[in-house]
Amino acid sequence: MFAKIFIKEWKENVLIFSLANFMMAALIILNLTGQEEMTIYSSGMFLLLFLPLAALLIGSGGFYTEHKDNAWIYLFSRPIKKESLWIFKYVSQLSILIVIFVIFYFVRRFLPGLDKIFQDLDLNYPAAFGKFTLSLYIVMPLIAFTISFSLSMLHDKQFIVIFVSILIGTALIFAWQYYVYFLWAQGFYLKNEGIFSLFFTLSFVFASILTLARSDFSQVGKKIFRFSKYLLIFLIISFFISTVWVTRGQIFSSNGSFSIWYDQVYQGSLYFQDFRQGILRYNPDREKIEKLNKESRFSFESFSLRAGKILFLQIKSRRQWTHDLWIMNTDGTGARPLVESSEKDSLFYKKRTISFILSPDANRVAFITTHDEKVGERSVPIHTLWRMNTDGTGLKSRILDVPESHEASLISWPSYGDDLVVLITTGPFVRQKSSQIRLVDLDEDTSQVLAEDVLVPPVWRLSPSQDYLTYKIRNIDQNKESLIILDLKNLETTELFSANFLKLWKGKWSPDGRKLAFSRERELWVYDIMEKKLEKISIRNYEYEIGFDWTMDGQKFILLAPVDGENQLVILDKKFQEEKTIKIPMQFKGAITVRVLENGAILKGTVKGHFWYVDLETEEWKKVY
Amino acid sequence: MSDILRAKNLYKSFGRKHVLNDFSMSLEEGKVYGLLGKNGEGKTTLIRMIMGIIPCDKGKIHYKESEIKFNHPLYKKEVGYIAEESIFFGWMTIRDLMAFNSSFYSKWNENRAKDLLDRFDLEGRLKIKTLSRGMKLKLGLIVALAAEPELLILDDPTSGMDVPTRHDFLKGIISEILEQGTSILFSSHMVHELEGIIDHLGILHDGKLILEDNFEKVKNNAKKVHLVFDGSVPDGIDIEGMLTKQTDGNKCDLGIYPWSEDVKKGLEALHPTKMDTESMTLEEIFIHFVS
Repeated sequence: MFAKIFIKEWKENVLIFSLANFMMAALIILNLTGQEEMTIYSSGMFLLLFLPLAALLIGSGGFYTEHKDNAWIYLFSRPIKKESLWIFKYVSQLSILIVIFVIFYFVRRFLPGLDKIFQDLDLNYPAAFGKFTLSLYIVMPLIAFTISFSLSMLHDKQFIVIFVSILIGTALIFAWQYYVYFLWAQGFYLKNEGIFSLFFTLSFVFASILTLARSDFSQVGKKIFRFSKYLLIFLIISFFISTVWVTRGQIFSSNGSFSIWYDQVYQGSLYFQDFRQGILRYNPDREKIEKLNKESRFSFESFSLRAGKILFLQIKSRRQWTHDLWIMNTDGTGARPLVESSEKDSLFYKKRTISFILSPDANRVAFITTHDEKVGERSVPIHTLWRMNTDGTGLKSRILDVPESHEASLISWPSYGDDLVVLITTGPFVRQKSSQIRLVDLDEDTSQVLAEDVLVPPVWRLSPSQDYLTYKIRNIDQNKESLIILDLKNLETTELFSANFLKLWKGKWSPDGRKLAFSRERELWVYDIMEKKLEKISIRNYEYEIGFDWTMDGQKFILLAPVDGENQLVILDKKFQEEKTIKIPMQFKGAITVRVLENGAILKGTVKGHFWYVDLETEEWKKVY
Repeated sequence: MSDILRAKNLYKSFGRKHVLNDFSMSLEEGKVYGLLGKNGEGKTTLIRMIMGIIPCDKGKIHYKESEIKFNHPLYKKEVGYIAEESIFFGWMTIRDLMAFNSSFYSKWNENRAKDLLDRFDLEGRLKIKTLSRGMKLKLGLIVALAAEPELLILDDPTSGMDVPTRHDFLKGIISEILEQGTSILFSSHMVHELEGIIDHLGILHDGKLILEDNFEKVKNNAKKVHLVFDGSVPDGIDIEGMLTKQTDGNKCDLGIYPWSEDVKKGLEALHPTKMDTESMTLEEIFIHFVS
């Protein structure tokens, strides 16, 4: 019986299937004939437009012929359960989509040129199951297909089903995003937020099956009412389960998971930020991890550490969502607030600090605040850049010219003077952020644009002295991206790489700030600032690298990479020749980073308990956190 | 003989309209049940409820010994259904439909399907959407019969058929089906067609069965009476079982059910100069009951 339904559904969708194959054939031809621009354009169209649309079309046509030919009566009078009918039809139609995906996979796999283009276009779906991730371009069509298929039994007009599917799907995703933000603002550390899309899609499935199995299809109003009722119930359940899932028991217990957000090595210790614990310090010579900011449980995601001081933000409380800027010594002593936005008599009352930085000597601080001001009927966000001494004197400020829906952040306070480097970037919902880098002088009250069309720089953008800034720019006219190093002292720029799509992974400055190591796709490169020399490092051909770091003296280089199928630490000498490898005896979950301390290395996963130290000489492992 | 189908106290409403209101019926195995009713009285609704296409608001339906629950489809393997309208996928060819439909039925008889296709001059390559209404009904009949059902439910099947086909269907096919012992629930608005076919009669009116009995018994008990009086027709004729009364001068026509000796005596007591009685046709029975 299933085979017959399978054949029927395939016959009904043969046109869309043929069209998908036709498009993929066109992509192959374009790729083989070397029409790169056209291939990129068409690939984008295929991924962004055709796949979701095909999924919506197949899904929305799920019960089209039943509506059109009144074949409900025929199917319902056959000896088959309605749930089975729904599932058979769903699986049959899903198989069409899956076959398109599989063909697409092989087309990609056998045409490396095309594979590269798709890799560049690809986005990972927010991991719902830890390690397991899926391409957004697979997940989104699957969700679109399932929702529109579930709704298709309610109405015979496909365009209405497609419209309603997009409308409800988008509304639910946005509602969830705002809800997640709300949870986050309440102080919850959230994991796997994408899970809701699975649950809400399942809500449509269950509501649709139950409606088919239980309702009177001769009464359209009743049918829609019943579907809406079921959907609402399942959505409420989905919200509840998703909330429990993403917070992992934090609602019911004060001891949730830990999350390490930011870390920095300073004078042989690792300073890191845990969302719930605050700023912590690890020194291999001491047994225990020290908690440095004892005043508050909730901290901002990063801190600024320079010249023996730490500048950080603390959240007042879960209920009072205000940030106060604090300073303390690197041993945790002398902690005091610098900027209190919750105090009514403070100049900074209701001004939200969004970015901050310490001066090279740590005697001054700079920070950016935002607040809303009424302009006519509208409320407009105002960004202000401030600078002051750590004793609260010498306050200077300047309102930054930040376009609406843009954000401003401080990225550097170079060692030579008082200029501040500010990044103006598009809002949080833009994937490919195009930003501007400005140099602001508060004494002269001037602002100079240093770079335009900057793609948001990765975290390794600054040299230790903060005098060199690395970023990627996109030249739309020439359709190319370049990796640039900017010397903030003389504003000289050096282009390191240029390509259509520049896929850069990780990067790490040597502790003396002289060399920058970074990975570009599967290659490791080192740039020497003094010699202005870019060199590709010949190491064994790893499939991919996971993390790397310089030793404190800059004489060695530690690489975490798969060797013979397992992750190992590879130690390279100053000429980047392999010196030795250290096996990693434990399994890590999530992304792993490497931080080198005096005589050892810290391996840091993203999950609680996955924070290990290894002595590079003795190869002894110690669980740290 | 046991009942193959029983409906008890069925209720069904569409909005504020009560279509079935405490409806009950039963069909004996191997018999033909003729269900009559005006358009919109709920015949199709009842059949769709029996076939599990729509749920009933209240009441129970039994097939053989088991209660039919909505969305419990196993009994449908033994039930053939011919709808009053086309219910097939238009894009399919007749051959596609036969193959698709065969997968639902374990007793599917391929030879019977072929024989019936030949008999009705239907070619397998034809697309269903190109068929006329009559051809689609023939196809429905083939689909239902090739499954070799124990119960056949016909929802006004002959309305779109041409005369020779209808004749073949009523005289030939139905007889063949009955020879195989198949029970039939036959709903039709072409009342005269059921005459000579049905064993049992049910008349549906205002959501209820206003008559349900053995057809022969109904025929014997349903009488038309023509009365002629000397003077005018006496006022207030009130005879037990009087369904209809029509007066024209000194003449009076009555429809009586059930006919009995007491009724006869009651009429004679009115002293008509002439009294003729004759049996009603099925159509007349129907008209008398629903008017």
